[in-house]
Amino acid sequence: MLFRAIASLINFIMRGAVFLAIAVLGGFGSAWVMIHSGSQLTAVTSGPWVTWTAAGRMDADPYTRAHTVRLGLLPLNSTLALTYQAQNDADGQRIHSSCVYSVDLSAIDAEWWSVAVFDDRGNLIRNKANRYAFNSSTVLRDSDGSTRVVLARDARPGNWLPTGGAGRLTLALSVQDPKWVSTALNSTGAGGDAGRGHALPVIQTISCR
Amino acid sequence: MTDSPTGPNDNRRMASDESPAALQAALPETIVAKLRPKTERPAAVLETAADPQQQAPVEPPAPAVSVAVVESSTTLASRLKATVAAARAQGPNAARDAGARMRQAISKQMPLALKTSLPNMLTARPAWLSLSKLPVPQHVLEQGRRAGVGIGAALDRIKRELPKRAESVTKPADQDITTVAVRDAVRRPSIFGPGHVLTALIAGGVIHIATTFAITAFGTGSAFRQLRTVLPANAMVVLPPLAPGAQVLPYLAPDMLYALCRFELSTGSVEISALLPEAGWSLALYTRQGDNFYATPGQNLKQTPVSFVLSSASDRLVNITPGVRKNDVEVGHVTSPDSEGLLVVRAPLKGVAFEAATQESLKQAKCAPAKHG
Repeated sequence: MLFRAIASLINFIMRGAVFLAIAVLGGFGSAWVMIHSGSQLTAVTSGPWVTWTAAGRMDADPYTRAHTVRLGLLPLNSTLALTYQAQNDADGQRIHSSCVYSVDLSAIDAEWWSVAVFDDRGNLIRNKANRYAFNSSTVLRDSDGSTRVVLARDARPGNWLPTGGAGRLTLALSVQDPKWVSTALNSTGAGGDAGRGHALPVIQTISCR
Repeated sequence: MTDSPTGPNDNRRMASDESPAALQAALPETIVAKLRPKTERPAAVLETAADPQQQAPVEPPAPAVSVAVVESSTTLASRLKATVAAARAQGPNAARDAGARMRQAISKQMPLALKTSLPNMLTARPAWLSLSKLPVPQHVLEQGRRAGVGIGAALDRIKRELPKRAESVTKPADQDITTVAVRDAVRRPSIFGPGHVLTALIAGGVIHIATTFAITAFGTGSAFRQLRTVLPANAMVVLPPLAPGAQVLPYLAPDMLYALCRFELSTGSVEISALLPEAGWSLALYTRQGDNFYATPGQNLKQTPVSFVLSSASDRLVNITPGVRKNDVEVGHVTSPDSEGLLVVRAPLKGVAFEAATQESLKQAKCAPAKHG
């Protein structure tokens, strides 16, 4: 009898474990992925850059709205502005403060744009230069018209964005230009390549410690 | 598993060589008594069964060993199946308990020759149930050898007494209900069957949907909830430049200056105005969930004045929002889907030198209860 009782208990526990694995972990896990990372239904990617196509819109899908609420964002309507985020370089490696990166922004031809660096929680990175972003008004352009921003822990010539010792980094590119946005969204659509309409900055790793 | 050369055909051949006396000697009295039908015809039955070919016109041909077992277990299995079906409704392990009970019944009913083989068969793995590979107890074979008779004859005797309860004598072993029933009976209930998986998937889907909507409805991390306690109602607040440790929200562009207003429309409409001097500037209204239901961007080389009265949808519905006049011109209306929300005026920072001027421009933005005129 004792053996049967133990066997029944084990059976019950195993059933519960499998049920939990499928229902609870599956339910929460899939929701987390859809809300945190997005999918082809809600976001478009171009290389490492990801943007939520319905961000800020009244007719946004539930995942986009949950994404906005969870991160505490206040996005402008995606018909006016788009915000791209990148967490990897052009080779797919996680952007990290131990490396030096070059971000080529030459191809951005919007009325106004801004590129900022955050830690992986969206916080600004403390630095002595009090420099956290460059935008189309503050960035220095080379004589040939090209525009590059360098992410590095130590000071660099040109457009240097300090990364301190923040660890994993998130690069945010905000573009505010209805025409530019319209071209970007209409030429891509959900699930497409966000870079087809406009070339997005290339993030190249220069060196790592 | 039997390794005996005594196969079904051999049994039949050996059975034809048996004499009734030899068969009676081969079987203990207890078996003979059990084989004896209630209508009392043991001797005749034993004699005809001992030599089935000679008695063909009277008795059916002796079947193989496997058929005998099939028949005997068919009856038992049909009972077993019903018992197991009832037991399964009571719990996951009830089938095994039912199997145990049936084995007890078998051991009481079956002749001694099969007492050990059939229970073993019932407890064996399903692959064991291939009837052509049925184990025949060694002691039964020895008894048969000593008596000079084949095991087939002994089992035929058993078979002859059991068919009254048997369902069929002609079904192939691999299709016989016995095989299926016994296999079902001894098979351990799976821990997680397709039904359970389907149920779990449906539950997971419900959790997925509920989580997604719950975050939107109750998420404590929303911008509105974070700023609700910081911002006064219906008053514009110009924030200082963002800095580490002084961010009001994550991922806010740090090269912007912000003017924020938490509008509260339950007490009336709110008058909003701002001047957007160039591209990069914007005025945006948000619901509590962060939906941007109104936005005006600044434009290059052109100042964009913005002025309107913000009302709640319920006020607009009953048309009780009073007209607001400014410089003798009635200003526009914007209807908010929420009674609360946020107004954000963004001003891009062109550099440190422009910071003060930009802040002054931002301070001209207004967010105040509407004055009716």
